[in-house]
Amino acid sequence: MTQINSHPASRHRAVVGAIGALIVVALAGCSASAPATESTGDAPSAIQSLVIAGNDVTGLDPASIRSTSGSLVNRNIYGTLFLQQMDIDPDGTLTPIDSYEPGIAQSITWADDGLSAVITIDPDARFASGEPILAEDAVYSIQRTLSSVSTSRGLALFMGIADAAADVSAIDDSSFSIVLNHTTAVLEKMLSFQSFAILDKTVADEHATTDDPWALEFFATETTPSGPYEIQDWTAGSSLTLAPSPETSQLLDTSATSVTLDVIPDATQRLLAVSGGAADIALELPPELLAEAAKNPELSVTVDPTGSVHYLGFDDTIAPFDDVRVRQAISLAVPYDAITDAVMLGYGQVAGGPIPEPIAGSAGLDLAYKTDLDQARQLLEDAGHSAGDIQVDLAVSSAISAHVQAATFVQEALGEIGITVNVTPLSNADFSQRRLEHSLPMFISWWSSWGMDPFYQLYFLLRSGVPTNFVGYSNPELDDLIDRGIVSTDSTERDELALAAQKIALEDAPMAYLFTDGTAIVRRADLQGVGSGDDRQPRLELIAQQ
Amino acid sequence: MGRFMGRRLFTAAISILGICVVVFFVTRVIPGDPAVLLAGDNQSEEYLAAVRARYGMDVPLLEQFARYLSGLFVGDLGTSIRTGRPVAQEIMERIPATAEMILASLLFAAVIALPLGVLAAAKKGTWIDALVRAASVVASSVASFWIALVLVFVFTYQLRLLPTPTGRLPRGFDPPPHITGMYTVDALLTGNFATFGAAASMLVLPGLTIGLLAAGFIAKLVRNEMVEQLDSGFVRMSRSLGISKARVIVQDGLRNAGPPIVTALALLVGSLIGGAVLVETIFAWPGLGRYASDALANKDLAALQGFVLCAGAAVVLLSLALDLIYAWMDPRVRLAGARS
Repeated sequence: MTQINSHPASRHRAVVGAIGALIVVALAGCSASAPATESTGDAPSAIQSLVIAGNDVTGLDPASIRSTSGSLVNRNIYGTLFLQQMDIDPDGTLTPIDSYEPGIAQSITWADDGLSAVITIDPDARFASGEPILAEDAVYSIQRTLSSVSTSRGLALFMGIADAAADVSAIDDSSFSIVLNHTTAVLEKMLSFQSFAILDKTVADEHATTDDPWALEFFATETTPSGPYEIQDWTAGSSLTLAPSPETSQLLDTSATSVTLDVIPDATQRLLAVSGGAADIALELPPELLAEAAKNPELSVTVDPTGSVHYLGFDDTIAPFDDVRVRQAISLAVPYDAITDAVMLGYGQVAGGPIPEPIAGSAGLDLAYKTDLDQARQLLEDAGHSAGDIQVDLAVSSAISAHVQAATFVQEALGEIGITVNVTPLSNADFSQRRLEHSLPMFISWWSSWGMDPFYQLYFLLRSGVPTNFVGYSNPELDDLIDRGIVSTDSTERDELALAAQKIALEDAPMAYLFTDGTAIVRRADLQGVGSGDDRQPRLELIAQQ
Repeated sequence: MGRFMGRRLFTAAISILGICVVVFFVTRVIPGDPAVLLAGDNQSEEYLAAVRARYGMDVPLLEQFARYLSGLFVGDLGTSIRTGRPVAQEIMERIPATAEMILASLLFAAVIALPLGVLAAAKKGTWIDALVRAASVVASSVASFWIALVLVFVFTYQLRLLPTPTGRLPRGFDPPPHITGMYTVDALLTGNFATFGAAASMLVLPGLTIGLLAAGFIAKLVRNEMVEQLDSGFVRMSRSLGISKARVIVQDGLRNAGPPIVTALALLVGSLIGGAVLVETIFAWPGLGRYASDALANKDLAALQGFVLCAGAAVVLLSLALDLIYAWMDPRVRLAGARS
C-alpha cells in the first residue's frame, strides 16, 4: 500500500492560500465595473465603451455572411458605396428612410435611359491601412459579391447586372461604370448592403490562389476595413472588440470609442446582462424575453420591421394541396390572431400576404384571410374531402421556437376542420435539406428580404423555378407581374404591379401567411441612435448616450 | 515495464484509429446537407456544388476518408464550414477555457465531496451516513442547467454577489497576457491580481454547477472506498496500537483509498471535456462543449470530427497515463498486464 506523508507547514500554506483566493473572489465579485461614460447635459454624449450581447461571429466575409453577429460586424467595419438615411426620433430610436446618400461613393450619374451609371469614389475615402479607396476596389468588391461563390449572387437580377465581370468596370482610379440589362429602382439600395462591402483589391489579390481566386479563406478571418470601425481583438466564441478606424471620416463626435460584442448564446443571459449593466444592448431575444425587458424602466425595446413572412407552406404540386380549395380552406382555418398574441406576444403582426407592411406596395390586411372555420369546412367539402380524410405531417425546424409553438396552434385549428396534423420537429440541417428537396408536404418556414423590396420578396417566395420557392408554386401571370416589377422604376406602376401580384398570391393561397416580425433590439433607455435600416443591422457610429 | 508500456501504447493507438473511423462515418449518417445551411439566399445548385467542392464533400466517401486521415498526420483537422477557420486552431483556442472550468469543477467537487465522503465513512450506519448518501444521489440526479439557473438567480440576481455570466471576464476587464490561456493562471503568473479576481469570480458559478454534480458521485465513491479501507486489517491494527481515529482516517484510510478515487476523477475529466454544453451555454463559456454543440446543430462535419477525435484521444491518453502510473507504482499491475 502506498502511504504519502504531507508536511504540516505545507498544509498550513495551502489553507491560507485558499482563504486568500476566496477573499479576492468575493471582493472582485462585489465590485461593479460600470461603463465609463461622459454626460454633458442634454446634448448626446459619447460612450467610451459600448457592450453588445449577441451570438457568435461566424466568419467575416461579406460575400458569405453566416450569422447575425457577423452581419453586424461587417456593417460597421466595412464601408459601402451608399448609406441609407436615418432619422432619430425624440425617444432616441433610429428610423430608416427610403432614401440613400453617398457613402464611399461621392456621386452617381445615371444615363438618360437608366441602363448605365457612373459612380465616382470620394477622393478622401481610405481603408484603415491608410491606402486610398480606388475605383478598382469597388469594381472588385461588386464582382466578388455577385460571383458564384457569394451567397448574395441573386441580387444581380434585381440590380440589372447580367455579368458583373463584363458590366462593372473601372474608368479610372476614381470612377467606374455599371452597365445594366434592365432599368432598376434598387441599385443604390442594394449597394448600401453590407454584402457589397468595399474590400481592398490589392490585399485580396495577394491572398488569392488558383483554387481560391476570390480569397475566401483570407476574408473568412481577416479584414480590410473601410468603415468607421476596425477589429481590435477577436477571441472566437467569446468576444470581438471594435475600435475606431483611424483613417475614415465616418465617425461622429459622439460615436463610441470602443465596441465589444460579447458572445452570450443563451437569450435569457443576454437579457440578464443588459438588465444588470454588463451590456448596453442585447440582440436576438425571443418575444417572451422582449416582454420581460419591456417591463424594466431602465430598458427600451425597439422592433424594426423587416417585412419578413413566416408562413405555413404546402407542397402545391401534390394532392391534396394541388387543389386551391384545400389551400384556401387551410388559410381560412389558421388562427392568425391567436398566433400573434400567444406566440409573438405582440412583437409580431399578422402578415396578411406575401408583402407585409411596411414594404412598399403592401396591401396590408385588406386582402388577408380572416379565420372562418365554417367557410373552411365548406371548401374542404366542395373539394371532396370529409373529416379525417386528410392526414399530414407538419415539419418545423426545432431551432425556431416560434415555429414550434405556432405549429401547435395550426395543428389544433386544422383538427377543427377535419385535417389531422402530426407536428414533426426536425433539426435545422435536416429541415433545410428536405425543404429544398421539396419532400415536406407541409411545413412552417420564413423569408425575409433585404431592402424591403416587394418584387425581391415575391421573386424568392413565389416565382416559378426559383429554388427558394419551397412550395413549388407556379403561376405564369404572377411570374410576369414579378418580372415587370423588377425592371420598373415608376413607383405608381410598381405599386399597381405589387397589388395585382398580392391578389393572385392570396387568391391562389400557395401558402398561409402567418405573421411578420422585425429586428428586435433591447437597449439601455439612455442610449440613442439604436435601430437598423433595411439591411437589419445597427450602425454603431450613430449610437450615443442621451 | 517496457513491454507493458509498449502494449499499452499500441492499444491506445488502435483505440484512437478506431475513433477516427467511427466518428468519420457516423457523422455522415446525420441528416442534413451543410451546404444548404450555408447557402442562405443563394440556394442555387451552382452555389451548392461550389460549396461542396470547396469543402471536399463532392468526392466519394472513401476518398474523403483518405483525405481526412492524411490530414490528421500533419495536424490538419479540416476547415469549419460554419466559420471558415481551421478546426485545429478553433479547438486549441477553446482548450484553455475548458481546462480552466474542469479544474475549477474538480476543486469544488473535491472540497465538497472529500470531507463528506470521509465523514460518511467514519460515521457509517448513522444518520450522517444516510444523509450524505441521499444527498449524493440527489446531486447526481439533478439537471445541470437547473442548478446553473438557480445559482445565477441566487448569487447574481438576488444577492448580487457575483457578476452576470457573460463569459470568462466581466465588463471592464481585458484578458491577461497569454501564457497558458487560462485567465486565472495567467493573471496570477503576471501579477495581475485584479484580473485574477475578476476571472475567478466568473469561474465560480460554472465551476460550482459542475462541481456539485460531480460531488454527488465523488462523495459516494469516497465513502465506499473509505469504508473498505477502514474495515481492513491494517487499519484495525493501527487503532489497536492507540493511533487516533482522525489520524488513521487521513493517513491510512484516505491515502490508500486515493488511487481508485483519482481514477474516477480522471474519467470524470474525460466526460467533462465536451459534456458541459448546457453549462457552457448558460454561462457563455467558450469551451469545447459549446463548440461541439454548434457543430452538431450546423452539421459542421470537420468541426464535429475534430472535437470527437480530440476528446476521444484525450480520454484514451488519460487512461494510458493512469495505467502507466499504476504500473510504475504497483508491480502486480504491470506483471498482470504483461501476462494477459
